[in-house]
Amino acid sequence: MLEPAPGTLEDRVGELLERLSNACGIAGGEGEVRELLREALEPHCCEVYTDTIGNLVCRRGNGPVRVMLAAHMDEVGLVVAGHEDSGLLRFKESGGLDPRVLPGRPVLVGLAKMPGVIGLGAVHLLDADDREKVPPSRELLIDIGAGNKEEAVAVAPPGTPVFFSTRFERLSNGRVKGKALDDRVGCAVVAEVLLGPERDGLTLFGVFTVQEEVGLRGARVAAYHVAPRLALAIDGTSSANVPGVDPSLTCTDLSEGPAISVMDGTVVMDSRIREQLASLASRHDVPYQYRRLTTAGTDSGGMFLQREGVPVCSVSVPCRYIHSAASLADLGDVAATIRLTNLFLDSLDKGEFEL
Amino acid sequence: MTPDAGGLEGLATLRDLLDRLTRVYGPPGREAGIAREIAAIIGPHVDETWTDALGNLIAVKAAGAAAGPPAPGSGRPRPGDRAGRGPLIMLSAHMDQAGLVVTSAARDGFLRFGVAGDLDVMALPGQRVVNALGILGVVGVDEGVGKQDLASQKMYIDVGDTEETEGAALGDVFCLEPRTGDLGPGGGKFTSPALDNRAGCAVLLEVAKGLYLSKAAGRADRGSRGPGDALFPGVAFVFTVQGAIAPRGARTAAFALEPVLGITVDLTPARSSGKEGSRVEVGKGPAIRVKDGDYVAPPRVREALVETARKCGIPYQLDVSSADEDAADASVVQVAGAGVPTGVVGLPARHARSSSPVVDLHDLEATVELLSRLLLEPPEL
Repeated sequence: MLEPAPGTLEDRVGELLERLSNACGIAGGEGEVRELLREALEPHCCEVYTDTIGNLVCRRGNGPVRVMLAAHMDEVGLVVAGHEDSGLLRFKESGGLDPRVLPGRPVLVGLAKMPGVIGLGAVHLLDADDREKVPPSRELLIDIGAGNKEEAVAVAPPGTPVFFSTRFERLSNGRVKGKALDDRVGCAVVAEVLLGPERDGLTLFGVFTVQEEVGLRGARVAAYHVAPRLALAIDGTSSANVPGVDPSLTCTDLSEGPAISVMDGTVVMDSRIREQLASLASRHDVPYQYRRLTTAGTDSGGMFLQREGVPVCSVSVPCRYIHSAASLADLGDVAATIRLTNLFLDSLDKGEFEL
Repeated sequence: MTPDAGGLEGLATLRDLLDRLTRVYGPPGREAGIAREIAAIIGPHVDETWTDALGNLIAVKAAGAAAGPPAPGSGRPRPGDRAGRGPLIMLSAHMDQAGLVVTSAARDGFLRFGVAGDLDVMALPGQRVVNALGILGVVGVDEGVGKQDLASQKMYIDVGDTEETEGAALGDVFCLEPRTGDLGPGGGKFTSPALDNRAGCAVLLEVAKGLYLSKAAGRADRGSRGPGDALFPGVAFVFTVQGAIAPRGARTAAFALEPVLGITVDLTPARSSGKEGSRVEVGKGPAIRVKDGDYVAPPRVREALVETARKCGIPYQLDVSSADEDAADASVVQVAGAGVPTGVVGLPARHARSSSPVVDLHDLEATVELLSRLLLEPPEL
């Protein structure tokens, strides 16, 4: 494979990731992210469609081996659940949020992106005990400046999605920060692979799934109608190589390459695919690591029990501060994940790897 | 049951089969070895065996026509294609055992791990474990960790010095060293770390070997129950993957086979000393499950099992559980495809989630009898 000039792939994927990260979509309301991906991919795919529950399916090629790459479009966020007489909003969580990050956080309410803030008790009223505690989300309220209940209901009725307002930014060393990197990094990887060369031996389905953060739901439906021979889930995963964490507990290390999963809380990965990925990475000098955690889940767990069974493996981009308002990733890891995915597809295409 | 001479011989066979099966390495996701072992045993008794995309081993004794042709346009042969075959009853048992998955290979020879399967962390410290290559390790606990703080993150596998870790990479899975043994004055009770669920596999294999207890089949002339075959419906023996963690692999096998009835055989925790619970007891026969945390038995299936046991004088007990961790493959079999009425027959085991579960061979023998009789006269569904 011809290596692109240094930085090229990173730059291209960085631009796409910026747009994806700034787009908003929690489980069940992924439309904005879906439209962005559809526009980018429709000219390059032979078929693009949205299925009955909102998964975006993009097909390249018409070869004998059906392969599915899944990346989920939904991000963790909040949903408006009620209104106080004062005009403040009650909310519930969508997806597993780190409760420490909510109080005082600026947010965007609704797809109109109305600014707001997650309010908390005034600092001059705090006693010593309060300073030690993280208030549970049921005690927090979103303030959008509404003067009363009627005003609040009119602009943010129950069910209105709420997003973190973090803007994507480039940091030093090729690292980036933004919201929703879980799993817009995966969306960027799958999109970039779809934009790459078509392979005669494969029917490649890039599937951008819905409702992953609330139970791997979209991927199940997609794997049923796509009916792939095998599948990869490309996701963002936790990375904790920061000071004070024992090296055995970091899960993954930022900037050390894509993390190949062995197992998580929903599936034991197919060892043939896992070994093929590791072997390709070693042979082609693509950095990689294993994901050193056996819990949580990705779309792999949703896909593998469909139909007669789908051999799966998850490949994840390390993301620090995942499931919070702002996470941090390395474009080098994203680019390496694209290279590894392409190498894997090439080996399937050439018949070097079969299941 | 009062074991007669024949019964004792049956028990010895069962015991040797259990001993053989529980010595084979096969944690979740690494079932190829145990699948080969089981395929070799069941092969002569069925029409065809194959392994599906996830690694489930499927062995079919079909009524009427044998396997269908490869599916058109699929690009590879599809053993087990439904075309031309009559209805099937699916008996399933997961063949994997609990394991310790290495999550971090430190240079000091200490491997961090996560637990895959039903293994109580209390049972782990000091255990001897082996990986696929036979490398021996011992489970240690971090210094200063109290009993109440015991968790897998605070333990490690000690495989000796740095060189040894070369053979124990990240993603490797260690299993409890397979030490088997007989309990009780005349034997009859058996212990091995891998009884969950090689005991279920042994039961399925014995049903296959007896193929509905040929003696009983020959005794009575039942007339024609199906298209020209005494075995009607046919039977699929399914040895599933990743079932030690949660009900998983059985779902895709059931989707492919579209059985008319499913029965899952798995270990069920039995009462030991201490509190008087409502759970089943070892030695009192197969435990016909009424419900668990993820599953409620369809009344018709439960009644068919109870009725068969009564009619044939087979001891049985009813098992009611509210625990999710008791969920057997049945919970996914019953919702596969357009739905499959599915029962669970539990094999009572004391110390079920420890390193040394204990089963009574009489319970296993009675389960073989119960399933064979049920297959001989399957319920109207």
